[in-house]
Amino acid sequence: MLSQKTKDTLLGPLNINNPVVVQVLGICSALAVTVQLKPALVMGIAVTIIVAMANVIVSLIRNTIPMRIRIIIQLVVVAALVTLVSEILKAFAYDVAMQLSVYLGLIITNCILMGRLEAFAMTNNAWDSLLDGLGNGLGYAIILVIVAFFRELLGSGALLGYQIIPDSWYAAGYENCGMMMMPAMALILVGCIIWAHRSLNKEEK
Amino acid sequence: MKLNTNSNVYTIVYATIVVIIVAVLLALVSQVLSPRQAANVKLDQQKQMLVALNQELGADPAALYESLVRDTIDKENAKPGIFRFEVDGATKYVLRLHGAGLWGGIGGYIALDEDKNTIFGINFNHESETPGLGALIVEEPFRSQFIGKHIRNAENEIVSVVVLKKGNQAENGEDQVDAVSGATITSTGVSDMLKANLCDEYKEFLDEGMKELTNEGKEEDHVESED
Amino acid sequence: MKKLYEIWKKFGQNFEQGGKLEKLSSFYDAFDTFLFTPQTTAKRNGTHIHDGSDSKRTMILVVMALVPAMLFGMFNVGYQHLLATGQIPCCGLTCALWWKAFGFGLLAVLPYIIVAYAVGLGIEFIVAQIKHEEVAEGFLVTGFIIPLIVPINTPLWQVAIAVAFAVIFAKEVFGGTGYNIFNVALITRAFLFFAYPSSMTGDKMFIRTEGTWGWDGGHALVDGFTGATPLTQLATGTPVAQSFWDMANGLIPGSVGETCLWAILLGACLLIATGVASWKTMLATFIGGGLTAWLFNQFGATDNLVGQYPWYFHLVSGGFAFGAVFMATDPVTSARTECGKWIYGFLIGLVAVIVRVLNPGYPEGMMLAILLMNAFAPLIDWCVVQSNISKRAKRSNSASVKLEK
Repeated sequence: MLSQKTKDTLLGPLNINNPVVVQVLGICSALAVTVQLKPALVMGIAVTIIVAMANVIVSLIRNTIPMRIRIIIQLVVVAALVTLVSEILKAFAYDVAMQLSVYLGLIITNCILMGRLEAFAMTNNAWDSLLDGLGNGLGYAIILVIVAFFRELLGSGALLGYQIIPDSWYAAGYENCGMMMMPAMALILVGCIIWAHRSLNKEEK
Repeated sequence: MKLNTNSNVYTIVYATIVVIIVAVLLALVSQVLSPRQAANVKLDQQKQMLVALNQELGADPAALYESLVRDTIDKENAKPGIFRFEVDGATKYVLRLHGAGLWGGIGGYIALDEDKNTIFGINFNHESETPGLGALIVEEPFRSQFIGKHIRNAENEIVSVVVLKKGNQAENGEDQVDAVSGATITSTGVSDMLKANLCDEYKEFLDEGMKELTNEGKEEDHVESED
Repeated sequence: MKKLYEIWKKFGQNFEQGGKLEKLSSFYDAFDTFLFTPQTTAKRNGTHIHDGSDSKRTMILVVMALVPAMLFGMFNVGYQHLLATGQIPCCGLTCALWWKAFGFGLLAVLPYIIVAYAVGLGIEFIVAQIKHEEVAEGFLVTGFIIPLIVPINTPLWQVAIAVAFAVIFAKEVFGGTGYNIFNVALITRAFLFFAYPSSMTGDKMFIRTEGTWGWDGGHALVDGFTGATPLTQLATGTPVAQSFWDMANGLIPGSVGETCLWAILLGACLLIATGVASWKTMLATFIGGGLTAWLFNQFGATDNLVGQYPWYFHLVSGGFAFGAVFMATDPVTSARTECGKWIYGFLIGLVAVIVRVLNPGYPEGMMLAILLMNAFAPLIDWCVVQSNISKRAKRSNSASVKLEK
């Protein structure tokens, strides 16, 4: 159904060419929104949508963009999309918008976005750019969700806000690990994922 | 015709057009969505007040709020914010609180009985207190300690409620609650916030009654008077 | 002794290549070099310095230097327990109570030592098997320091997790003993401090009020009992109850090993006499801390209780002395140039006092100060070396200019 090239464009960023654990981009927001699973999911989806749409738009107008101001044009496109998503979230998912707070606006500066626009959308057609945007956004989202899964489970004993660790554990002296609530722990978890990812892929090659 | 996309004129015109398109688009969206967003902000505050009033939020907090609220003085999320509710036939006052914690601002709503003395319930929020320590002020065990405490002393002066380390005794005999252990600064912040807000900010209201509220233009069949 | 050694060597043949237990050779090697000084020396061509002292011998020296603090700490744990439960008569300790205090403390501290060594060495052994390396000896000291710096009421499972975290993420990922940037024992404490803040703060964390292994529990606390350390008292705005000599003598609440100045100084003498730790780092830390605290005393900080705290109190309270003697001088994580040691130590003292005075969230600043300066130690060394290089370059340039004339 899909040619090998489109498959690589879409699925490459999920694993071999993951923007977070291989290219180490977009780390800052990965630290900030992964305390709980829900904002991480929303952030992942938001970034995916924004990268995909920005990729398509920039790809469509790529031949008309003056080279000297191309970065500015890319920024304007991304900023417009981010503002749109943030307005929509504030209107329809207020709690999540509050939790994401400034980080939603900071998607504008997410390195993945500018990286994909400059490296891919400026030189490829709209369809490939869409796939590339989706792939990279999802690759980012996967890492976010994995990190948030461990941080919420070990840090608050819950997943998506529902308590997972039974009360009897707490009664027996179990305590949630406050370190997981700190941004530093997200870096260490990302480090662990990179570690696992490298060891797995070494065997494949 | 092949356009020279690198000429100065083209660059300027292009940039202008892009900016105009984006600006119009965003302005439009913002206009369409702003009522909904304002409603969300309001709903969030209403929910916090309902929690302070010990109400189950249920499926429709807004309707619940409307069914309970009687009267408000609210200046755009700033001080003062005074609300009068009727819960189970009894009048309750809710006051908005603002203060400082360890790392950032803290705030909340305090619900008082009709005597403007007994605390009916309280709710806190915070910007960035330490998770597991200072952040515990929003949790039920800390909040529920306040219920039934008095903000006035025997001489009917407003003295607020102090938050103290377990085992310590308040100096002037105010009502006291136990601090969150390990979160001394945040607990002191809560204590200071209550004192500053109740003893200064809302002193006039607490001593004078609902005169201010009735002046707002709402017709009221009964005027609260100091007993 | 010789006979014993031969038996041991014979047993060791099992572990050589092709032997039955080849896979576990690093185990054997670790114990071999731990128990006996290696017999192999450099070949006799060229110039070599021959000395039986290797890093295992050095580590044992540090452990020996820690013993006074450990013994006193054990006694103090029991003493504080008796004090809190009102078992000490007004006329002081009787002989029986003295032994009870020590026995209680021994039983209370022992599980921490066992857990720290079991978890830490376990990970070291596993990593050594995976990497086909010898088991490094660094954990001998770390495992001994950890029980000394964690509060006595920390749950054991938390200590186990913290040790595992520290050994894996502060040491093994950097390449094992000798490659770590941060002091492993301090990372253990920092992890506990940030991960389980509710067990690590509060009045009672430094005093065992319950029984140990079911022994001597169930006593009611005396009226008005407070287990706050001097620094906690200051941070919460209460005047300090202990005098300078109380703190130097160490019969006060605090982490197991940090309270008694004399025990720590005894260890310091051994370390300095044997040349294991640098007296420069220690002295510089005390100077830096004392000077900063003195400045706070003199200027400003009128509304700050900790700032008014006399400078000599700062040096004996909390973990300042213990950190300066045993943690700041860690040869792996501290600065290595002689001039760098002065700067490094001075900055540790300075940062520790600044954290104590200016940050209300953290009554004790020594742990954070040492960890912070651990990160800066390589930079300090680099600057010292560079300035030396440029100084010498200038000298040789001016010399050659003279020659040309």
